[in-house]
Amino acid sequence: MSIEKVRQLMIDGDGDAAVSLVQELIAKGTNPHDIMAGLTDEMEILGQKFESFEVFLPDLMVAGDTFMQIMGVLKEHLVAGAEDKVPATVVIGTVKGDYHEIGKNIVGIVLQANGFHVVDLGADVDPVAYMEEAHRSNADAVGLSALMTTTMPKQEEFIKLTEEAGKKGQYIVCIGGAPTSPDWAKRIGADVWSFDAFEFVGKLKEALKNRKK
Amino acid sequence: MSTFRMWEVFAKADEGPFYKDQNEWMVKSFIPQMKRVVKEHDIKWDRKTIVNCDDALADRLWAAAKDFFVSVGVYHVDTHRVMKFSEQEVNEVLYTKRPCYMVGAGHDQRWLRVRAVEDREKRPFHLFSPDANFSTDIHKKACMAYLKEPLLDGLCAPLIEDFMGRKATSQSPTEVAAAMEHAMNLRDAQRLVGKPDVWTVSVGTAETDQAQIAAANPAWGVRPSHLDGRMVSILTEMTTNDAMLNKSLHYRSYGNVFGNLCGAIFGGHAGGTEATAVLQTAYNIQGACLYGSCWALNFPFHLKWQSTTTRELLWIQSMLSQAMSRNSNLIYLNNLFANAGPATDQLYWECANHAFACESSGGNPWGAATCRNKYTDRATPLESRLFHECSEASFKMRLTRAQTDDLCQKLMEKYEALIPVDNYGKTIQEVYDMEKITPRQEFVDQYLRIKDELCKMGVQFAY
Ligand code: B12
Repeated sequence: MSIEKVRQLMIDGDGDAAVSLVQELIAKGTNPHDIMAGLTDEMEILGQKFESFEVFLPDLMVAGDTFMQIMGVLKEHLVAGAEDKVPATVVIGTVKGDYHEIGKNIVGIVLQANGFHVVDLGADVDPVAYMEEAHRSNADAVGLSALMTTTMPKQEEFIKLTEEAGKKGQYIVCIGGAPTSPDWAKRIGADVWSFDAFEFVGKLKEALKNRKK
Repeated sequence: MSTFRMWEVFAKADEGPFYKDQNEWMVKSFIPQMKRVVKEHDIKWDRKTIVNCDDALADRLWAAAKDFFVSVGVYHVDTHRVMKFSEQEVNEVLYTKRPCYMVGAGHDQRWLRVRAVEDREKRPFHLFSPDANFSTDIHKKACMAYLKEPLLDGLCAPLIEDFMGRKATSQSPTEVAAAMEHAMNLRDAQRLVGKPDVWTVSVGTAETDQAQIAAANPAWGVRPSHLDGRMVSILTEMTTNDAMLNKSLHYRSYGNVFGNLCGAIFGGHAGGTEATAVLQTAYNIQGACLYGSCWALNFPFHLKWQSTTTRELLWIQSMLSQAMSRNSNLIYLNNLFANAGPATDQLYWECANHAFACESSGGNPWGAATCRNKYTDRATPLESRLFHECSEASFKMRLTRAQTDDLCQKLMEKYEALIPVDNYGKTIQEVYDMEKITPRQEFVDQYLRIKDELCKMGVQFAY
């Protein structure tokens, strides 16, 4: 019942109340993993509702922000025995010269809602900056968004750079954006291409699984 | 006066409140303020109406948009500061804004101006624009094809993708050169069809500030002053950066009658229909205050379908038009993005519906973009022709908002269920004889058939 209440506070974006309730629950002996599972479920439901336009981006953002606040408290209680649950890290950004950010932002929000750790470099991102951040945050995947035919070549440039720097295969290279296509992805040697953010989550999970094998 | 205190505005980028990133500002300021203004100003949509007939609601939308803009300001992504405008400053801009500009020259001269709701005197300004990329080899001819259109008052030409066999790449010499080539093609095309001084909004191929500056040249490129228009974008949502401020500086010093390109996303950061209407209206105020722009191009669009012809988006266009026409001197145009592609009946119904939804609300048509606004060579002057003919018919018939809502409801039935389908039709090379630059007979026949059907629905075309 009280986990239900935390879920509701997360949707309402009431971070302070959610955090104190979580502290109270843990003090009373509620398993933090159950709280975490409840919140992840709720985020997933929100994600589905967003897909069908029952809720909108602000609802997801507010809940996501509260989720991160709650995680700040839960984190220390979750570490023991949960190494296998460490979320995968994805570095995302819109490529150099391109200020189209919405699609990339949605990708970020949906990834977060699905439990990924996301580092967002914003728009107009230099290929080298992705590489450096991927190294710094020990990323499992890098996602490059391009919305214009004039900026798609930057996705290719990034892949070339990683090859030349001997970093190919260190992380999964994902690309997307309206003018890109599976053919383009294949041509430039990207590992994952997706039509939209929702399809991407599935494809990325699959790629991560295959990589671990 | 269009250059509202330019340097005082630029200074705001270095002096406003600091937010670490855009997300923090969104969650702490933008989202809660939007929820507040929608509620306080009681902005509501019944999920059915396409053309609004409620004046009080239009006035509340205007008040909400102004309230929102003053409360939230503009996030500058390079300096991480919020550029805030006081109500006093906003009022100064709104008061001093010119309600009309003379654009173009010679026999191509026109007035671009604010129109009234159900305007009986001022006809709409017909801006033709495919808003799409065209292959470099047909670019000049495609420009000519659009320029030949009889109703055309202004043109925003297609973009080119390549330069000397290389992909035009943003921020590189190929982008600068492609932008120059675009401008040169356009000048040639204008002379060749006998419309040398048409006002063109130029040049879309120039994405960066430096490419815009490079394409500006009175002898062969983008002309100064009232002779050409330019555009500077508002980044989504309610943000800007130095490159945009650079563009606005260049346009002002070059004297152009320039506009602000703005598209709030339905389903995006604003949220649902009502909030998107508030945000889109606020963008028109933002452009005038932040960039000193003379007009705005409105393209609120659907997050999933990337089109502007769904029921909620047409309501938004009708609402924002009325809110501004009733309460301000701000000049604006209404941008159409259709779901379907050339030579499909669906595309024609979408074009007609967008035209009717906006004209009686005081709007000016800008279009027509097709195929969710993202495919090369997939646009032709024919659908633009129908779009503008419908807008002109609506004006000539002096249709009231109630009458257009009726008509729009019927047109919506023809395509609403088809919106999710990818119905991308044909390319311009298939629809047009690109040697003669005329549409092929079978597509002219289709065009006339659609016009006949519209006549049966009560539309009386101007000719
Ligand atoms: C909104 C918009 C803008 C806004 C952008 C606001 C912002 N900060 O993001 C503004 C007004 C600022 C703008 C500016 C410009 N734009 Co613009 N814009 C668009 C528009 C209409 C929609 C893009 C969008 O947000 N779609 C909605 C999102 C949700 O969809 P999406 O981005 O495709 O993302 C989804 C998927 O693609 C995928 N995805 C996206 N990224 C990634 C990444 C990964 C890793 C994965 C797996 C998946 C994935 O998932 C997303 C969500 O499900 C497009 C047309 C179009 N249909 O794409 C033109 C368009 C992209 N713009 C265009 C142009 C030309 C410009 C300008 C140059 C105009 C000008 N002359 O000033 C400037 C460019 C400035 C710059 N240097 O970037 C052209 C590009 C043409 C080309 N060369 O290819 C387009 C195609 C319009 C057109 N047909 O002419 N634009």
